[in-house]
Amino acid sequence: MTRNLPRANELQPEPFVEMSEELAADTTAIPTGPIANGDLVRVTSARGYIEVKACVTKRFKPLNGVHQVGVIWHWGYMGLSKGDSGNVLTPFIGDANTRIPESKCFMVKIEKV
Amino acid sequence: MTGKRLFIDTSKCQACKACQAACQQWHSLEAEDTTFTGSYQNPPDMSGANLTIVKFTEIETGGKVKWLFFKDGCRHCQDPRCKPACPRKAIKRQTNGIVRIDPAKCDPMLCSSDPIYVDRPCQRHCMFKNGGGTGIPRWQYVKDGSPVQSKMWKCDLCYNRMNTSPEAMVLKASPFLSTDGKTKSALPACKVTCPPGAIKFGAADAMLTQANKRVNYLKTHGYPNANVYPADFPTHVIWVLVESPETYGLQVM
Repeated sequence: MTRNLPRANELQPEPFVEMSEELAADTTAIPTGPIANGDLVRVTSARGYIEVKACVTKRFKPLNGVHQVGVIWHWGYMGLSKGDSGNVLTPFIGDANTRIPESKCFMVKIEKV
Repeated sequence: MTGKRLFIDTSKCQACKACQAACQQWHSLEAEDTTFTGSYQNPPDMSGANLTIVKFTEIETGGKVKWLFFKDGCRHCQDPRCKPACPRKAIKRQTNGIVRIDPAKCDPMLCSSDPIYVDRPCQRHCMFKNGGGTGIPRWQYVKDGSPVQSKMWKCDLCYNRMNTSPEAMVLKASPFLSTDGKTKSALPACKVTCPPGAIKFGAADAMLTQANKRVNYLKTHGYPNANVYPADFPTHVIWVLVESPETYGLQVM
């Protein structure tokens, strides 16, 4: 329902990937060049890829030298505001005992489109 | 100071932007078509469709990142410069301090010979041009087309919610009412909807006392730069900021 409300779409119109300023400027990790705020980037995992806008922020920091990115999940192929779903990237596996999907932590590649 | 005052405590704001949506709903404004520009702030600035917006600022001091939120909007000056500037006398100041544009009298195509969307007298004489931009009043937003009968819009502190019977409110916007249907009816839509209770509305002097009390509390609890904004300029909307106004990109009087 969320993506069918014009007022909610206005507040956050597109899916995005959050990354640190250090990663955005790191041309070793991203050979396609430094990423600016609002650039279109491709996030690829072993299962698929999505193309979303980049949100370069001070709030994300590399942890012990490992870069992290955050992708929001709330988009899909339906509604007034369409966009790539984060579910495309996540592994389709989970813990059989707790029934919790193992979709919180995995490797991705970032490219500038 | 007599009259009413809106007091926004930015140290409690969680930037959910519910005030933006509630304001839009009460004023029956149409949502804008926006794009993601690299910040959570959306739309990027106030417009005829968004009389209030939450502005986001990220600062890094001493290895610590602070994410600052500021609910922008009309300040409702005690001595509004837009009021004498309006050649059509469309801007009124009520005795309770609310400064509002009368849409029946406002006609931006008649008050200036400038082309459409160029600054009008009320915008030019506004005291608060943040970042050198236009003043607080904005052109009415018309989706997919040029406005034929356009008006200037700005925050009117929901003057039409004051003295409105609860029964009439139910017809227009039932979610804004409390269960008893009375206590919340005379309050601005943003104040009623604010989930963390960062927005307060009441007698002007009492709100300033509360703001000063809050600043004193914040100063001894990890926010040494807390201050009341705007300082030394009487307005009917005041903020408690956790950093200096310049950090937020605000104009200092």
